[in-house]
Amino acid sequence: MKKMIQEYLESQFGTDTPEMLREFFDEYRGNMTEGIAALEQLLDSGDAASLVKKAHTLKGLALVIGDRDLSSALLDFEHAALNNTLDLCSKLLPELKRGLEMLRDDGE
Amino acid sequence: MLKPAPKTGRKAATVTREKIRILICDDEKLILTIISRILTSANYEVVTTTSPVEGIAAFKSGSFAAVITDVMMEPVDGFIFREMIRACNKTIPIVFLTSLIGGSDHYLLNMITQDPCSYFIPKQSGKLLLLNKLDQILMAYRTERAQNFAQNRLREELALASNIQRAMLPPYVYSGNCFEYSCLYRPLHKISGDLYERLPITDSRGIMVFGDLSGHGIHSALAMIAVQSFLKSIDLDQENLPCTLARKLNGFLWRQLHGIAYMCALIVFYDFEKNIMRYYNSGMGDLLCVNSRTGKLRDLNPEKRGSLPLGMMPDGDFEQSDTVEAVFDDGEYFIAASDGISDLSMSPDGTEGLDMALFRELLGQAVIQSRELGDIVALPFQIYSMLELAGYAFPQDDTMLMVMRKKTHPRRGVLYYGSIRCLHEEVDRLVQQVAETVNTRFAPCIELAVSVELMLQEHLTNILNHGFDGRDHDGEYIFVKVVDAGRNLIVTVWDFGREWRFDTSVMRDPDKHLDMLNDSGAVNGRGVAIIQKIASRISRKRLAGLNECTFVIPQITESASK
Repeated sequence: MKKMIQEYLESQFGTDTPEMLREFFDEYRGNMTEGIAALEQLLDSGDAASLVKKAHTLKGLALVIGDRDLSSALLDFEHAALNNTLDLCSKLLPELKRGLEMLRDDGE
Repeated sequence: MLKPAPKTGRKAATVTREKIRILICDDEKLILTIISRILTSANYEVVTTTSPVEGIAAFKSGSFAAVITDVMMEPVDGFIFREMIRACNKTIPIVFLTSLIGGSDHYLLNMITQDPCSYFIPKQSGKLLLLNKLDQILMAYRTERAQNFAQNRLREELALASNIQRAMLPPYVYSGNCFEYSCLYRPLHKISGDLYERLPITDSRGIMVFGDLSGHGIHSALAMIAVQSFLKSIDLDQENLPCTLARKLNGFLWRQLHGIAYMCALIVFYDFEKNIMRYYNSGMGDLLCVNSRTGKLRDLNPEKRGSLPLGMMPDGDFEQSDTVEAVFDDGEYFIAASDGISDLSMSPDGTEGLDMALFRELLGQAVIQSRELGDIVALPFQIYSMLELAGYAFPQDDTMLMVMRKKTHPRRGVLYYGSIRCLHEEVDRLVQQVAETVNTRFAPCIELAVSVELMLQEHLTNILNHGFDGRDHDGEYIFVKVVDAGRNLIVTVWDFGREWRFDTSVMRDPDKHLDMLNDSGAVNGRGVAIIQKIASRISRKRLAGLNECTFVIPQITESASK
């Protein structure tokens, strides 16, 4: 589990239910994987409004689980989509993917 | 899907409290899971849903202390979800869990704060902040609800106290064989420290007590009820003189209410057969005597006899020699007023008090006018209304104003003159009695009796059903006068319901209006049209809370009038 997230979840729920925290993390990672793939598809279709909504939802998810890296990257992405600067969104997408990779690599 | 949140598996909290139920709505399941874990760990009972539509169904079927919701959801967002909740509950706290960051989300913040019972908590708040904030919100909600509950209870109890107080008083208007009176009784705040009581000895003789307890509001209202109860328990005999009653009342007030209240009082022995008025004044405004032909006031007490208010000293003289005695003419009216009248002011702060010379002038005019009209039901209300029109629209104290006069001779053409309580059975009885009287007088012209019966039934039922806007009216009275005025019957009704506004467009063509109602199959709304079809002329006045409606009903044929 990514260390930043583990520390955050332990601060919220304590250390005596590691299985529950692992479940949270796995679900988060699954949701984020699907979500970032969806963002990529929406970017290809040029649907800025849907991009804003999706990025906003994913940002909320990252905030709740304590993933400051991805929540920050998603905030930038959301603002870019809100301003309809899809070029900038394209440039920010690799950063989201890097954040996703960190979920896969970190702690495994 | 709607489901109760999973249990945490932790040990039960050592401090047990009744679980507070929270509804959480978020279309992201992981967020729902995490937030509900946080709340259940703090001993909240949580119901979660990913759908606002399911959320509103859950809200309607359960009892919740607060709702936590996301903003951006499908198919409806958090604000529409809020509207759906507000349709059921205007004040339950709705907490928006948002991921707003920075200053670019003003629109959403504005939307959230448009509702005074909506709050927001950032999604990144963490457990501690979330629980603290939720605790604060619920505490504020509970406090406000408790305050509202207490205020409503106080309002209800005051209304009940007001009804009890009214029930303790005699009817506001009385018309006996020998004399009649009408009384305006207006508490400053729902309940009053003023009182009046009639203690009859015979039809023509008895005692009237007017009192004004010190202070106003609950304090003096409770004292008023005690005094009124005491008065009702007194057995009157021929030996009772105003000064004897003053002594008894002083003893009661000193023993039972010493240090709580004292009372200014005017105790009047009346004899409308021998035309004698004998009274004892303990600190109240003097009894006024007005000539109904000239409007002039006669000073009955030039020596200013009387005593201090009652209940201020354990023993008082209360001598017969301090009693005022007056012989009066048939055409003289008597007026008793509490200091609520003299304290009437032109300004809310009470600094511009009543001009007594103006009051006396208006009193004279109103009495002359009342004599011409032939009844005194509306007279005290007319006087008060004239004072309001003169600018004295700001009462500073409880107010009572009673007018009494002798009944000299049977009034010509009066077919009915009396009051009923605001009860359907009394309305039915009155309507039947009036119809029978009219039928007897105008037989065989039965149509006129039917017209009067129908009109009165509609108007009085309207008053009972719609006039009081849900206010308890069992203790209220309606006064009715029916006069044969030759070519017309004139029906006058006085009531304390809301002001009646007859639609003049209906008046122009009541038949058309009734046809329209019939065509549309309408159940309600016929009453006024029926009244307007029967009455050739309707006039109405609103006098200091009293409605006076006069209906002119043409007789069918001139020969019908005897």
